[in-house]
Amino acid sequence: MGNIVGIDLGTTFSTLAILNAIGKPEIVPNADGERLTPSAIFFDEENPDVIRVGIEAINSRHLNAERSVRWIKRHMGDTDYRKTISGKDWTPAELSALILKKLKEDCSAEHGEICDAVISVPAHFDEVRRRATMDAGTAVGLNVVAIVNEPVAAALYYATTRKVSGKVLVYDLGGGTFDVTIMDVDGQQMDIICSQGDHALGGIDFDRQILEILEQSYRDKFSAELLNCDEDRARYEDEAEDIKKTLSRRPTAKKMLYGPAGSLRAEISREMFEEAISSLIARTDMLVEVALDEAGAQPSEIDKVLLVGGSTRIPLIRERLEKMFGSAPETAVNVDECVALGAALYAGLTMLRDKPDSVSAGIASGLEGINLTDVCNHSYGTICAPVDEETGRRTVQNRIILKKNTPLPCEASQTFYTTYEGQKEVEVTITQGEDTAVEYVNKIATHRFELPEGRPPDCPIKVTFSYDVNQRMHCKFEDIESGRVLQVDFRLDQNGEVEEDNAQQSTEQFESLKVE
Amino acid sequence: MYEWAAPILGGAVIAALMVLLPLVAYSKYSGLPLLRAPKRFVGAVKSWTLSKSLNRFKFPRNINANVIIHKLKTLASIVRNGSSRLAKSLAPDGIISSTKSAARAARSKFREGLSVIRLSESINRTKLRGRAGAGKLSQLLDGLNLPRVNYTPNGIGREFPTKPDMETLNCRVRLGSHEDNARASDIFIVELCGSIRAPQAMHEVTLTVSITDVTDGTTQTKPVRVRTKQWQIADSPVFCHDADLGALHNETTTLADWTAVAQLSCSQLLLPRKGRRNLQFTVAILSRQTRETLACAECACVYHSTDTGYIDLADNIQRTNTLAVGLAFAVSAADHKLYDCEVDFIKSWVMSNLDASRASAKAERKLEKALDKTVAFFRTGGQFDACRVCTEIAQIAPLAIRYDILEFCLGVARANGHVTSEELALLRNLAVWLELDPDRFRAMLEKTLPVNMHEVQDAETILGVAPNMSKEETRRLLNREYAKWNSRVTSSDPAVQSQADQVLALIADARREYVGLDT
Ligand SMILES: Nc1ncnc2c1ncn2[C@@H]1O[C@H](COP(=O)(O)OP(=O)(O)OP(=O)(O)O)[C@@H](O)[C@H]1O
Ligand SMILES: [Mg+2]
Repeated sequence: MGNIVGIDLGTTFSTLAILNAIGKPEIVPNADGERLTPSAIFFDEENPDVIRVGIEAINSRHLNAERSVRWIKRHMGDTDYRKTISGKDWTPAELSALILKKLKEDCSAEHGEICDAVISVPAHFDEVRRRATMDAGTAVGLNVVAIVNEPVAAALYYATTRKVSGKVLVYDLGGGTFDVTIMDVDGQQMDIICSQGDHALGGIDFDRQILEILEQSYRDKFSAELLNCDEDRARYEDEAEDIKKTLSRRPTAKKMLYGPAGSLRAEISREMFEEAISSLIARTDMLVEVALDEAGAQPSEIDKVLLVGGSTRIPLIRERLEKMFGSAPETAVNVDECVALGAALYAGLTMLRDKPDSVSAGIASGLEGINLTDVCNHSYGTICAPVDEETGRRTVQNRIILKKNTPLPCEASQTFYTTYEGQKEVEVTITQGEDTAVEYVNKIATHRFELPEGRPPDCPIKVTFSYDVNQRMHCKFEDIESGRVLQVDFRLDQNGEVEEDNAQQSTEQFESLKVE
Repeated sequence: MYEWAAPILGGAVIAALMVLLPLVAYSKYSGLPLLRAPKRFVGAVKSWTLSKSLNRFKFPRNINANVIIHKLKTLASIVRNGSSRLAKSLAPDGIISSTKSAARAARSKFREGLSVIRLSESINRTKLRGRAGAGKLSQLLDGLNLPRVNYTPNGIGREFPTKPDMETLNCRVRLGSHEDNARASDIFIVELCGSIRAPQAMHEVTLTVSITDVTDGTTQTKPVRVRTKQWQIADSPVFCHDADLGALHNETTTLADWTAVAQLSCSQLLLPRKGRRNLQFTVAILSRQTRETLACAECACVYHSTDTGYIDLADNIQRTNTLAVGLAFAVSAADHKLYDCEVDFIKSWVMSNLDASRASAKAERKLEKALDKTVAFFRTGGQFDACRVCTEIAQIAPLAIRYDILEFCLGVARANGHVTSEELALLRNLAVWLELDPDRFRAMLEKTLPVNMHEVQDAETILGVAPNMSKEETRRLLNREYAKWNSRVTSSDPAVQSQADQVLALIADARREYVGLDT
């Protein structure tokens, strides 16, 4: 039976965990012996046959920033983003695939072929970003059996390794994203209540604040710029991260700045840092409050706060959480590993549910009793044209059918009506988003639904959306009178035939690439 | 003072400004989504005066009143539930003579009113006479919960003739009131008495009711319109009520007493003008097949309409649009600079909203000139009382149009790519003066003037944080805004995405500043 793994594809670090013979997840160190692999890529000009991923890529960045890529997760799903290297345009999914390839190969070298994998994503990732992540996995030959939300994976790991029960808030502040998930935990039974996430809040934003302090002090002293090229920036970005980490341990951090106008010994205190990141901290506060609101819970009703993500090592974060919830948050041994460990557990659970025969008895018994109910991560709806009660005018609106945070599997229906006499077709749109204004929601599919001719207005059309535990969505549009039905299915791993061909092509392309 | 508007208020120009709505902003969606949201049906003709008219039918001794009552109850439930199967189960036993009419009644699920007249017609046909059971019937009718009618003691119009001529058909109209969801509304109750002659027995007939406004004399009659399509004459908004009455049993049918045949909701009717109106009602009984008039009656009544009439509306639209152009210029000039692009935007609005089929080339030129004069007025620092203009618009223009005007003004502010604080302040005032919902205004503002267009980007301007808000209120407002924009940040539209990013950063700063870091 093949290996089952979980992968935390992080903004700054990526990690792979494997389920051992008794169903316990373990981190697999990479070829360099590191448990975490920096999510960085370097295209070496001198050796174009090998693409460097990980620590080497980080170091090479200081020499040639042009040919290096970091923080690609922030661009996932962005259709316009391209990194051009020697005439080739790389998409975010392709670049992520390179990182996954490195993780996969390093693991295979040690443990043999990987069969099935789960990749984690931030809870707030939308369908497009989830699909891009899935594509990246498929492209390097991984059988991605599911995509799991990072806080859910982390909570799964916590709940299976220590005693937690009651209302639990998972606070996941990583390198690039911030997620808050609230869940009910009762032994091995976990029910997600809601998730909220901020896509632009993480360690790299804190680093940026420190870098700004450094730049400003250099400017103040020399009236000159510290950073004059991308390589300078790359180097000082890493210095800034270093300062930030030091400040988690000590009240001050010192650094020599070597700029064009001379060198400067910069000293940054923890207070200066905390002041600089106060707006970002305000943002974390809001997200927690919004999540609590959504869950209908007071801070006092939260029994446990679980910390996930490297940035939760910042003392200010812990202090604030302790103040808000009245008790110290709980930390795993290693906050930046628990997502991958949980993802491996999730992969095992998914396999047990979908293909129990391909799971070894040891793993199956190790996972016995763990049960998790997830929720819809977003609201799904359709576009309609109701008459505005106030103005009496027909307006175009998004009407939510499946509401965010509905426990899975779920199904919901609403009846709409045709607008005019003799209406022969309806343009049906499936949307994702929380707004009523159509400008602010994403249209994930649009179809034409043909209707019988010669009918009066106001013919009912029933719209039913359902969402299953495998994150497959099924949409059904039903013309009640004629019984005509239009059905649309969405699966993360399925984009229609045309794109499957593409996937095939790109798998071949990645097979021939060498990643180290 | 808004006399400045005089140049563009001249007669020909007004004709040229014959406008124009719906506005461009809305037209981009036309034809796109073809579904409408669920909505409850609202009927114009609410019901027929059942209890009053039925009280007049007396029971013969040989028919068991309970049978009638049972049938009535069943029919009423069919009417309410719309089951044709149930309707068919009613046997033609002489009480409800035609299952066909009952089935038809059942099919018109929501048209309670029409069904009930069929019901009363059916009962009429059975010629229930006598005394027994009448009291009981009316008592049970009470229990049916059919829509209720209260007569106002003082009818409208002139005194009813005391003794109608029973040889012909007579009609009269009374004003009643109808309670719907605890809101009383006026209704016209149309009543008939006298005789109807059909070519033969069992002749199928229909009833029509039409109304004309004769306030300005019989040579200048104006039609009465209706809001609901169902009661409109094909492809015109003119009111005409048309109801199928089923078959008349005998050649001559005599209604011995005044019998209510139609009840029309005044709020659904659209009179030409507001105020005291003389209305003429024409009621006709037609042969269903040949549409030949078998009997016809007319009567007049006076009604005080509190609703703006459709001619008033047309006048108001012209006036409103002229005033709107003034407001648009005021927005443009708010920062003491009248940019060409803003002027062009206003001109193109006027032109594109102009009814080209009506405006002659000459009128168009005149309009151009008028606009140029207006531009000159503002360029030379002319003052304009926007508040007064808004107050007038608020009185004459419906809400939808007022939103259009605001949208137009926002478009003007947006024309040169950035909005100054003076422009924004005026826009905010316009929303208040035009009596628009502040939340809606905010939503429009977000859409039309994204944050990067604002000259001043602070929490007060962009997020609506007010200085008098408590910390807790501000906290809640900011959380709401944060949740909203955070869900928009993953938009597939890059413009929305970057706007969301900017607003989120602004919200975070505002939180730190107004709420602080202590929880
Ligand atoms: N001691 C520390 N103090 C402050 N920050 C730290 C510390 N250790 C690690 N970090 C930060 O944590 C971040 C990495 O955390 P983690 O590996 O959980 O993120 P990620 O998984 O890469 O990102 P994400 O989950 O957001 O996609 C980096 O920004 C790093 O600088
Ligand atoms: Mg992470």
